Amino acid sequence: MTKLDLKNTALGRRQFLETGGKIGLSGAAIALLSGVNTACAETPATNLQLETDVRILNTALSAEHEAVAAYQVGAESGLLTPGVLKVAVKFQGHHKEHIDLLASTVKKLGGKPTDAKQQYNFPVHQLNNERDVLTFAAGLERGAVSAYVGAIPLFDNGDLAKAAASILADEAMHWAILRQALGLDPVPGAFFS
Amino acid sequence: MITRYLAITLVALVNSTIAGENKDVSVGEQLYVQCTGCHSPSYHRTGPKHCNIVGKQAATAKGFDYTEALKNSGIIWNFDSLDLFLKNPIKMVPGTSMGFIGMNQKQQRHELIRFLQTLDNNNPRCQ
Repeated sequence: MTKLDLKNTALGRRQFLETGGKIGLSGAAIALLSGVNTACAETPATNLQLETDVRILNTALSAEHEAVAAYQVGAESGLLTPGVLKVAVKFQGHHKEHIDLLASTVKKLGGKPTDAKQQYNFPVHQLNNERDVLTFAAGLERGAVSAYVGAIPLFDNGDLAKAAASILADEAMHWAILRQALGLDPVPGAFFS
Repeated sequence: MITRYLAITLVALVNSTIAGENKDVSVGEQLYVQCTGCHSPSYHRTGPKHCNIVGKQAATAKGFDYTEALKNSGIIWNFDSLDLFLKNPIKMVPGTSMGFIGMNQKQQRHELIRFLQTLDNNNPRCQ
């Protein structure tokens, strides 16, 4: 039994399994994206800068697809208690929203969004109980935060950096909550490294 | 005689320190966590796996879809090339999809590379 529970969510396992890829952009995402639009229109970027930004966005997109697939594995594992499953559903939904934002932005910049892989090689044989699943998810979220920390300084477009930082903040919250659920210090330090 | 004894002791001490540095990759292992957003030692993710990467030609691990930039780079992954790449991937290989600003601190890069060097077939992470 973990400390993780989310009482006020309407999402359940069935909805979790049925809504894959159908989530539209939230108001916050649209706001972020409209900021990117403005920046694209007003700040001329060289082709090389645009290509670099698109590549970085697509790398982030690829990682977000992986996160969605990982939460799917966790949800279908049968190892999660109902409260934890609800939280996993919620976090997966966030990653789907990240995908929608990143894919839309790639398109607006003239690129082709990276698709999800047909198959992911997760270490499912190591997932034997709820704690294993939470540890696995926490590792992915922690890695995602690192990836955004390393990628954001590369953006030529400040609005892209802002949008990516917003995603980073969300994934850092996921990581903290998963650590809390595992009985670890949710915020182990003042700085992330 | 005493001078010779001190010299031998000093050499032994230096050797043991160097050996200790080579064996202790805990700092590099900690630093490797920064890579785990996209990489795993044993399986391809957003980025390619890292087991047995040292000594290999870049972009040759089976089952991973590399960028043309890396395929055409001609890089062999050794200590020096990894050091250069980790310092600034996009500068070394323009067109790489490794969206990472790089590691400024030389010591950190070296610790990380020392850890990568341990990711061979004898490492449990690669089995």
